[in-house]
Amino acid sequence: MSSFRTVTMVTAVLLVVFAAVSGNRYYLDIFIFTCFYGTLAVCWNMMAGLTGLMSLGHALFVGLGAYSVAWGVSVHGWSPLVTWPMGMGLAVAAAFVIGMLCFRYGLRGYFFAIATLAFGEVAFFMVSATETLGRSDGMIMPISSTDIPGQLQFFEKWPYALIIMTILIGTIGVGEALMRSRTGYYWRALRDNEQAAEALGVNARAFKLRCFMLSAGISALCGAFYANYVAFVDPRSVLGVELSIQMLVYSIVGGMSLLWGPLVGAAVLVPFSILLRDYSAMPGGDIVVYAVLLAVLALLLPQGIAGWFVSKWRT
Amino acid sequence: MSLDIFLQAIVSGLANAAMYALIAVGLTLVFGVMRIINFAHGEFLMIAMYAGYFAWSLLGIDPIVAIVLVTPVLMILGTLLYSGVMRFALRVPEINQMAVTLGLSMLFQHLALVAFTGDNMLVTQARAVAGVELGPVVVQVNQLIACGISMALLATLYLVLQRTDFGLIMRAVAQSRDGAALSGIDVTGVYKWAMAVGIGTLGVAGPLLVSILYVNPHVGALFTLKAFVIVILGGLGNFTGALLGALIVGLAESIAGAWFSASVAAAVPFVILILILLTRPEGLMNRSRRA
Amino acid sequence: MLAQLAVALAAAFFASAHAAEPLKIGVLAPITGATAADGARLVKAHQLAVKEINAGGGIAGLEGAKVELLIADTQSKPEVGRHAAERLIARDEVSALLGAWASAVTMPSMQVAERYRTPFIVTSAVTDSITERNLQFVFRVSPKGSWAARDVGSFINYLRGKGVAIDKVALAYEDGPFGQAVSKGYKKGLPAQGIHIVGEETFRTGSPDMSTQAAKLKATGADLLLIVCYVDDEVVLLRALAAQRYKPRVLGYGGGHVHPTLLQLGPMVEGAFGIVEWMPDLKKAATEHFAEAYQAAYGEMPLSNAAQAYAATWAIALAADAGRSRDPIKLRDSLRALRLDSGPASLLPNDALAFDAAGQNNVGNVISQVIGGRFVTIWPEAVAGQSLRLAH
Repeated sequence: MSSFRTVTMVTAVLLVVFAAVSGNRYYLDIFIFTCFYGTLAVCWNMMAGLTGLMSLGHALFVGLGAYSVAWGVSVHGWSPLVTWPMGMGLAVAAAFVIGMLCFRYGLRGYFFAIATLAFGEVAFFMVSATETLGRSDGMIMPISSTDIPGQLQFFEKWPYALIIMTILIGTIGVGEALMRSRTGYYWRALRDNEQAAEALGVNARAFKLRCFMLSAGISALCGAFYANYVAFVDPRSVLGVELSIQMLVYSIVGGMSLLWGPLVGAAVLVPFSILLRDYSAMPGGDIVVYAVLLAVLALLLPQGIAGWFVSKWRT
Repeated sequence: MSLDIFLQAIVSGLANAAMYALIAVGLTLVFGVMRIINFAHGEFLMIAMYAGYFAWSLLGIDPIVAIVLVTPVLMILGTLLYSGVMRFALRVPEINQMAVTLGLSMLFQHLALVAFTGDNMLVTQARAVAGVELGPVVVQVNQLIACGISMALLATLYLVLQRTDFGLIMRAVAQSRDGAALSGIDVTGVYKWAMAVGIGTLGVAGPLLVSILYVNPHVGALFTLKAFVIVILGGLGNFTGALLGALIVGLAESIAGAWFSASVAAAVPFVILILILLTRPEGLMNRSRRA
Repeated sequence: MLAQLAVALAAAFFASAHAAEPLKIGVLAPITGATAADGARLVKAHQLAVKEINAGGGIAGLEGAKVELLIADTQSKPEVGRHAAERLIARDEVSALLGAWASAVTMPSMQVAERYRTPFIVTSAVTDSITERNLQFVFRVSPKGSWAARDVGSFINYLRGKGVAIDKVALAYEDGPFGQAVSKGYKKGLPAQGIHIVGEETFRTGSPDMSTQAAKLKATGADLLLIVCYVDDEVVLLRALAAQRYKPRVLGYGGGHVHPTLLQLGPMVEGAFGIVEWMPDLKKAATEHFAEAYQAAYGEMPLSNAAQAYAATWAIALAADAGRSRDPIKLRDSLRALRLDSGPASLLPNDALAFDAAGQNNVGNVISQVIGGRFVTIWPEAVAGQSLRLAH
């Protein structure tokens, strides 16, 4: 598929689903969260699946985005026009520093994963101890009884759905464009064999760093969106390890070799688990089904749902 | 901070380290042999803790004695885990294996909740509140016992791995699966044993821990991440590395806890982890260092 | 015979057609996940209230409408709780929400209620800021965490009046949402009442060892130790204190300190104080009724948070009755005007269940003590079930 076709297809599917659910706030909420996790998983997988850098600390960047918005608006009344770029800037800068350290000292595989996890945990505990950020309690953001578009406050859900859809399509678009560019080829070369790529003159550190910074920036964007949508942030929701692990799970189930694979994973697992929970009579039944499904899919479809589908479709 | 408190922090840190080592060593053993990171490791610890608790509450068996019963049960669970799940997981990429064990961990936590409710269960023996004074420092009796048994087991395990044919075979498979297979080693059998021993160590840790702590369905998860950090710190798959890692995490936690507020202190082991990884990118005990 | 049956059926049909639509109330509770044990108890209390309301003929102001409880599991996770609130409001069109146990789950859920203009009664979360953000649809039955300082201060002075020497007070708390919220109040409120805090120790939930904290607390020489944490951590801390042979008077905060698990520690907790939102032996008519009914229905004594859940459920039903409307906005207005000084919802230790302009119920705490292996209320004397025991 050409990159243009991928973006068109994703856009078309999203628009169709959006049109189908836009009249119903409940379904829109599920749609919004599917897009939110989908975007996160896609940008996480740009590192893990496409460049070979597994991060377990991505919640750190989501948290930077979310806390920038929450702190900006509740302490200074800043507009998202200020706080969103601020969150992204902080996340890109953090990724630059963490990446420089890790790549300079040659951290790979699980060791890179656990180093990023450690950075994420340090941030989690530091925020939990910081008074101005509300410590473990988190920050409640103001909610107005009238819509304030300038503060991204809407009664209806469709404006939020449009925003997160735009972020998702933009992420897929940028990702696809990069995949077709020299950068994308270098990324995959680094994933497949870093030493060989370096021997051929690829500046491994610079390209890995670029990938890390891009992924972090998009994560922060999602975090900023989350803060405005939920109007509440706390360390556990936006800085916890669970969030980082969710990105990994959606990517594995969707398929890590394709840019849009993780989106499929999120599109299957997020609505599935929510609907199961909302419609099943037995509390916790969804946990059992989800856990078993996760294990079984990871075992039976090592290429992920999207990978499996593409290989069927090609033959 | 006075010297007495500092000594107390060191002694408590050492006692914790012994327990952490016992938990982490199984994780690293399984990884060393099979290259699988088991995210459900903590849930097997939780099962062992429940087993220790019920041995005490239903049968009146002292948790220390219960080790003898719980360990074989956990070893059997380990082999079942291998034959039922891990055997198949060996065929899929490493990251998929992580997802499989994550699924197992969620499943076990929830099943435990259904079976035992979310209430905390306590082993209440007279010695649970007793302390031993060592100079200015007080150690809880149960912790002292746990520490002693843990060190004895770790020493035995070390000797088995270093001095026996069984250990030699394990190490051979850990070094090169194909090489070991070519020299006629039954690799599948070794995997099964690695899993049995790796999970079996939790059969010792569980009853010891439940007499110090409490047990609820989520107690294991408190230790999974810690064990994971310890194992990486020491160098994945490295036995002595895990011991060293446990020592560092145990002491760092305890000493930092004496100085800072708990949230800041909790970040300290992670800061140390980052610093160590930056100087030794493959963990403390892995000598091969590529630039 | 056939005709009789037809008449009976028709009667049944018309009866049901005439009966008003039920008043739907959503409940957010942790039924699975880390705090599942607490969630199960909350749900029992909500259900008991509904059973009583419906057995009494439903809501008179709504033509005898029955109350229908829609219980959603939050899995003890903020995001799951938040979505459950969305579902209950958008899909199930509940008139009001109750919940959601921990502050971390309550806060994102109540933001949903605020945005969609549905009243949300917070039953047990103690984070101060919940009723300090000028939210229009959020009410709280439970006291603010920081208010504990007020009551603890009065209680300490009461003890001093009884000749108990309390010169130094130390603080030990869980360094998470719960402990931070309450201890902040202590640190600010107690010195203002002339009570000197000489030491402060913290731990993260799930710490396997608290010997160092215990040693440091011992070194402060405090004669009263204020503890804020859940029951699991409390067990570890109390054992560490005992091993140090340090026996200060202890006063623990919240439901964790009147939790049956604690009694398993036996003589070690004898005499220990707890500051808690409610006790089943409070001398109030409504309390006696609730404790009896709860025990008859479930065979166990209710904990403090069960009483809050029960009161909140009744409050919604009575507000709907008073305002003769199930419309969320009108219900909100009725809740604001509500003042319940008698009846089932008045079981908490204040004169009347009522919400101020910020939605906060002005309610204090009571002090319990373990006497003879049982939790009993000992202060304030007006509602105490038994008197303070000072043998140490």
